[in-house]
Amino acid sequence: MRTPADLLQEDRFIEWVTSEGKLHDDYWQQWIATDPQRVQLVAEARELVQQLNAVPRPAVDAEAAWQDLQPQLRPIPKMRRMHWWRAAAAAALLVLASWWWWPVENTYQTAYGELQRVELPDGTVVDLRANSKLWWSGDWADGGLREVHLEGEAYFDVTSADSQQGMAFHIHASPLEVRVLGTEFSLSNRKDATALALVEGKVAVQTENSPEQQLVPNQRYQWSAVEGRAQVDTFTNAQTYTAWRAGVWHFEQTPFRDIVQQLEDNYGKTVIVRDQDLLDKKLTGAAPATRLEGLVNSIAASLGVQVSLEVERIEFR
Amino acid sequence: MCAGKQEGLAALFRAYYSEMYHYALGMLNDEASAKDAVQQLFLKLWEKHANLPSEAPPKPYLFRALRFALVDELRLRQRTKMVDLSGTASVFAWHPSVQYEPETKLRQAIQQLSATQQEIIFLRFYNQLSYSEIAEITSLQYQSVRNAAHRAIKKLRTFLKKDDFS
Repeated sequence: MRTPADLLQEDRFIEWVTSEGKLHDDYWQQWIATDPQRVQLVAEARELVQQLNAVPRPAVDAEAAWQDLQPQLRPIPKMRRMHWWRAAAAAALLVLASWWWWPVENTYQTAYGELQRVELPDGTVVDLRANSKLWWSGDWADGGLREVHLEGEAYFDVTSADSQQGMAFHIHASPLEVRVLGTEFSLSNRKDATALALVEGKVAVQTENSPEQQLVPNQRYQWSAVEGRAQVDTFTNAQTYTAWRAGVWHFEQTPFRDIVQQLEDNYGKTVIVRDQDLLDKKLTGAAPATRLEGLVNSIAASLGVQVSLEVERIEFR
Repeated sequence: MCAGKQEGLAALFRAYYSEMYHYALGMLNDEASAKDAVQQLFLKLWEKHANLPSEAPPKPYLFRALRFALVDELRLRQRTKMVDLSGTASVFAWHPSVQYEPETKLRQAIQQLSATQQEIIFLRFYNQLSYSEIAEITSLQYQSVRNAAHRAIKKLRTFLKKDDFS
């Protein structure tokens, strides 16, 4: 039996209440509809969020505090003679600084277990996987470049530069820089491992310490932070990188070790595997991932082991 | 050019000062020091602005930087015996130095929570930061943050219910 405290440890529940239903509404409406007892539970949890949001604070005069501070700001030293390269550096600095000074306008973030489709101003469609963040700032036309940032994992269907006055599309997925030439691919940027699987079209990929490399369809670029190097291999079945968009996890000779990592990344639970030998077992097949319980059960079944699903952890034994 | 940049800093200051001030007040429990801590942070940002991260939304970054500064300040006070940090990870409190009218049941309940719980609840509901951002700001594990929030909410509810019957 769930309690309001369970709901209040979900960011997307708090966001749903705080945004007055503008965010995550489908998810929660559906969640409530599956069990009549949830109506009362959600009502209680919602009231609690509203009360906590509304705890009064004494008013603060930010303007007076700014007026205090402003005279202490020393002017930035003037440059003596502007060489062309200095002018360029100054311009770059200005762009960097002004970009930072303003809050980023567009940020999309998915919670654990949530998928979201985002349409960018240029018509590019991005399917954001669970526990991922996509953001961009400012007006692309000003910089002549379509530029976005990704943390986590996403599938990109990028509109061609030709349809966008030749504006190139760049993705910053630190440490990876991706230059896109109109195309479809899956990009994953989590913890120590970053990988790009190209489904269609052409992209150029680069990291700080490795040269730019162009990929053709069915090639996968992997960057390992631990080894500090990049590696390119080919894949035969694109489903492995695309099926999650339709709520299915697809494996093709995928080591269980990688699946464990995906479970942790997507659901934020600690995964415990009793028998360490299992980690090297390879799985092939598809498992529906719309419900975590169904997903772990079918993985456990194909491994021939038991699994238990708790609030914070998943245990295979 | 300079004026333009200063306007940028001013916009950032106006947007976040109030939230940052209340957070600092919770940590330092003294209005003048709280105001000073936030102003000093912005002064530092101004002087080092070439090195600011351009790739992330500013709010979590500001709070993380502020928390580091506040912990430094608290360490300094500890050395001069103004505060005892031993045994607790946090000293946060929802500004007990401020008088509220009227004192609500919820605020009384919040004061029953541990310092860490109060800090997390404050960052989540007052500052509207996500649990993963809070983990980054406090250098705690994501899962520990959520667990602490869970325990805190449970405790709040018990307290609020108990009060209904008294």
